[in-house]
Amino acid sequence: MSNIVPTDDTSEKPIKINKWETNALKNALDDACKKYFKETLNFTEDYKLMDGRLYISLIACLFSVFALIYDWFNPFPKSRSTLIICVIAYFILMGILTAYMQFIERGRFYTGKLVDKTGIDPISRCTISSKLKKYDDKYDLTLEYNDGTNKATNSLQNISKSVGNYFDENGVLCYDRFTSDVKKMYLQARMSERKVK
Amino acid sequence: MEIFSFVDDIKRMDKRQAIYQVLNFGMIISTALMIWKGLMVVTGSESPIVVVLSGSMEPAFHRGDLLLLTNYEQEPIRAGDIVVFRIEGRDIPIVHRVLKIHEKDESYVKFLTKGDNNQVDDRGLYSPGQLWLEKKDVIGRARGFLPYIGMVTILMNDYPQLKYFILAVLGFFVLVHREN
Repeated sequence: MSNIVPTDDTSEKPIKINKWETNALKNALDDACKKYFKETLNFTEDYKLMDGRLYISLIACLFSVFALIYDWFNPFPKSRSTLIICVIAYFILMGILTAYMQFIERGRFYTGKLVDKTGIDPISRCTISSKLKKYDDKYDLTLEYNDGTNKATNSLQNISKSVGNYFDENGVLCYDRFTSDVKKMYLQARMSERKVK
Repeated sequence: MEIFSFVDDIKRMDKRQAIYQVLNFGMIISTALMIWKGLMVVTGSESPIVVVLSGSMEPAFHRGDLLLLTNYEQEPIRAGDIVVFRIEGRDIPIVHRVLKIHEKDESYVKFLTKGDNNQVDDRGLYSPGQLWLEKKDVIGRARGFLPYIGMVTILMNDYPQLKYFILAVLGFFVLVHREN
């Protein structure tokens, strides 16, 4: 049961979560998927999507900090116009953030690229998104694979299974079962990409 | 122990996830702050929501009631209005009713206040030598009220450790809980 790989302890200890908490389930599966792609398949993660979210949040927080400091030094009636601008800007940014997470991110939690060390094969890209509805047990994992040769074609592969397949009674994640499904999905994606050409 | 399962959760978070948790916490605080500043701008008052601290306005307002204030320039203060004012040198605002007004050409107003439940007017409360209040002392006029809700604020002010404890616990849970 225990892995004999001599890496640091926290990453090899099996993940144990509260099996009734939907969020914890989704996060554990997403993390395991990311780990598989990073360590086993040697993909490098592309952080653009996450960075976008971080920048929007950062700018929103900066507006509010600015409003706070400005109002501290120029008590209320004088700071009125600055406050109006900051408040409106803040809520617009909140709207942008919500729209960003809803329409642009769309559940995509990992974007990676595989750079071939020999430089012969072009860079292949993977984008993975997942969905797990609030009180549902079906975990839906979608992989968008693009072989660097033809930028236009993307092959989509999908696993939709109950989370009961991957967690045991105590809420411990069975990493190997999950990654074997992920591996199957990945190989299918590569094959179908090649067939399309 | 299951309660400490979040500790593993934290260890599994990568750098960007951790930054997002902090920003998420910042955004929650910022949203509350921006709503408060927005209210300040909309009502024109520097403290749009106040809590009644004493029983001097009973039976209208009791200790622990929440008041919504507005402070519009265009609406002049008239006798009978309930105003919240601050006396120079003291920082606790007072909620009382306006008794008498002296007005000179619309720009200069001075008025006298008295709590409904008090026997005498507020001259005893004003600064030594001050007989009237002016527009600049007024934080706003009471426009709406919510009973009992302000008791939470009174409790937090009487027991500041309780306030810091609750804030620390809430902050901790926000920082640790991953929602994505």
